[in-house]
Amino acid sequence: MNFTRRYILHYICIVLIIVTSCTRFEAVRDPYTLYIHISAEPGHLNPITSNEAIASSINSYIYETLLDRDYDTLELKPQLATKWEISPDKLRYRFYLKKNIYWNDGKPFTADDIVYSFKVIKDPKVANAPLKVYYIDVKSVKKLSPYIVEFTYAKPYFLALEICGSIPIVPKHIFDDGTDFNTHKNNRFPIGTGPYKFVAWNTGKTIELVVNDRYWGQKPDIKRIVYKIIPEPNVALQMLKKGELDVMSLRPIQWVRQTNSNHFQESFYKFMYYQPYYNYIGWNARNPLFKDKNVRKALTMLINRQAILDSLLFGLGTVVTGPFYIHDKYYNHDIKPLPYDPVKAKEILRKAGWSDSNGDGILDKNGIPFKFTLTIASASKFAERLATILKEDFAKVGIYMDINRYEWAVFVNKVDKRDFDAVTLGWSLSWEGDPYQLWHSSQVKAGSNFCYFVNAEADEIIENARKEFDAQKRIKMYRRFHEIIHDEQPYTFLYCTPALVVVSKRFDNVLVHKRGLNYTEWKVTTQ
Amino acid sequence: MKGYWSIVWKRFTQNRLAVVGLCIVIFLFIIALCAPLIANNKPYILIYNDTVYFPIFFEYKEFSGTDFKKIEGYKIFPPIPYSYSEYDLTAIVLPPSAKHVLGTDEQGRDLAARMIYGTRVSIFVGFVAVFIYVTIGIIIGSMAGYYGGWVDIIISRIIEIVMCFPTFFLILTILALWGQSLLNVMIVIGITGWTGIARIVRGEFFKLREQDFVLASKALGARDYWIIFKHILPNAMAPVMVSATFGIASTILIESSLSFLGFGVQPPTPSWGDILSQSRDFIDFAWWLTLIPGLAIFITITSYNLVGEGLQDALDPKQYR
Repeated sequence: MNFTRRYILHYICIVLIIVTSCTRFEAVRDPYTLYIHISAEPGHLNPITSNEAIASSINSYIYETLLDRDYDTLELKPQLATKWEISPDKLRYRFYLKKNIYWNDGKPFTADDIVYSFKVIKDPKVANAPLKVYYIDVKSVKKLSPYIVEFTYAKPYFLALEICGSIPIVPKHIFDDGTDFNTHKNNRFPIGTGPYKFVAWNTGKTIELVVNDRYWGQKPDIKRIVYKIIPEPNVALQMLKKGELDVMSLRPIQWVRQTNSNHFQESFYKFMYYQPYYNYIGWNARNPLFKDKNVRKALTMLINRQAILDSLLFGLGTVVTGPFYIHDKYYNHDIKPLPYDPVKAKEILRKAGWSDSNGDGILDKNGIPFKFTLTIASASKFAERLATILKEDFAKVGIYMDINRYEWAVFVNKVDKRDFDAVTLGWSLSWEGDPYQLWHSSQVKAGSNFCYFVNAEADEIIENARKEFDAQKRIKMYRRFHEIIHDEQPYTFLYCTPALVVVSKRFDNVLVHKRGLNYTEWKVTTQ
Repeated sequence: MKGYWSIVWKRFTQNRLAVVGLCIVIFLFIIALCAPLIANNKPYILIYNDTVYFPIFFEYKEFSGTDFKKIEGYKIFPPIPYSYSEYDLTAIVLPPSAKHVLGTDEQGRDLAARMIYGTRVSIFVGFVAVFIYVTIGIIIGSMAGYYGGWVDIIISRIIEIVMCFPTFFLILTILALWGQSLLNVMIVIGITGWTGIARIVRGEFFKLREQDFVLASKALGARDYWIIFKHILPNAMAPVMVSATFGIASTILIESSLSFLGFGVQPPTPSWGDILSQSRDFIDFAWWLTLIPGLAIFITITSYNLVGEGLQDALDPKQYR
């Protein structure tokens, strides 16, 4: 009996928190503060060891690097460097740094910080495997003077300028104090050179930044940025409507059905734009079921991708066929998605040796039944809905699929250990892609190639493309690579979905660039 | 001469609310037992090419993977002609109508079918988990109560230690370690919930072990287990039954809470808590997705509590009315 009572109390508590946090506000509203919704809390904010999307978006206002991409043209332009020189053999990259740049604590920024950051990136004890991939071929970073650094490559790499120019830079005088880099106390108290400086982190509630008075560039109009951590999207939407949030990413259903009133449109801008991203179902080729590419093709043909897109995601997105961003030059538009065709899929499976020989309703081959588990992350409602639909559709042709839902950290761990049959996930891509990290056969053991995609021709293309500086030739190579991937179907590629963002009309000059939104250019309207 | 249980039954039936509660509980039982007969996408009877089939009751190889709704022929469907996992992407989030009595959810699955199968999960979890913890509680409680002394001191301390754990978070932790499944939910509730029962049984045993009938059977040379299970336990069962009834109510609530938080059943198994959790996305326009599972949980818990209270009053010898 006291059992029951305790839970009732538990519920009232939750409700109370929601109610009070909804009514409390109003009093404190500084017009120069920007409130941004984030749905999950980053582990820490160290740009060298973090690979979370949320952390890198916060860090882009705190930390800077040598070169930056233009928001519209995506061309590289100077940030902390004033200019750069490339040796004729394309092996040496020399950067001249801006002078009079200061870290948030007042110490000057010099070439030593870059040399130290590079040392840390290469340090095998530092946990940043995905980042290390891109610096494999960098032999050394030398300080030629306090304001000149030189990167030396072992062999040419077409992305070298971008990789050198975007090296994450942390202050040497803070981090080089003999303590462990992975657990350094400043991982949760970042000190950078960017337009904003970090002031406070209330665990589970907010992360706060204020404008950096020492900033070398133009100072932004918004004086303070508060990231509010709210895991439940509906609570966040209610808070947005009450004016407690200024920026929020919507889910498709919120975009389509919950934010269309005139009242809402009067106070908020709605922006939809595409960014390099796709999601997919990965078939673990270590599993004998998925070894045969024809089976993987048949599975793709059993998934009604367009209908699922139209109903679960309200048509917001596009079906994709390969490993590049759909609006990227490398994407091969000659390849059409495999059609949804259960009859043909069944035919392909039969040819591949799968038939129901014992009459139990499940396909089998050499006595092995076609049974597997799809692993999904419990945070993703889309994955769960997709999974239940697939389970039904697969059952109709005699494939038995179980669904296993895991909490995010456990889920990531399972994927890293390759402990899954099939998995659904998404990739956020960089603007200039190199498929090495995801598709090269050297990455099957510890890297990001966890579905065991091994193909000699693909390896060759990936390796040669790294050395190819002619963009046109690279396009040709990557389009061929796209064909191979489509033919092999290591993933069932799903969708490229757009970012759906609402912004309060309190701000002016809110522009949607190719790279997305940039808070530093927003102006506060004075009403 | 009326028996003890007929007196209890008579006193129980005098409590109107308790009887209503019992009727609802029985009704839910029937629904849970007959779920495949009430909601199913296979017909009871199908006459096709002059052959009579009973697809609900038998598997026919010639129909495997086919949609019975598309087969021409004479057929009688159950009242709700949908299975709990059958989806229809052309009919998502529809309000209640003649076609879908309780509406549909975000994948176009029939809510009525899911609610009916959800009853199974709730009742199954409730009974199995309570059975586990009542068994553990009785064994441990009776040992403490019967032997007393050091045994009692040790067991009482263990009970106090287990009671100190914040149960809900212990359950969440264990589920995170073991992985989520219905079986694990039942086991976890079972092994964390026994302390109340153990205390009650211990107290009853303290009261009863000095009674004459126990002394008599001891004098006759009966063994401990015989005395414990044959003589004392039947007399100590009344408060255990009351507590178990309340326990079922709270277990159903825990299962719903776990499913609501995404720690309960694996999809697509329907559970009331899970349906409620899914409905959060549509809370401002799809009232049926929130109201119906919420109401089902509320009514079920209330009914079990009413039965428990009725039983408590009926079994209490001090409360002669």
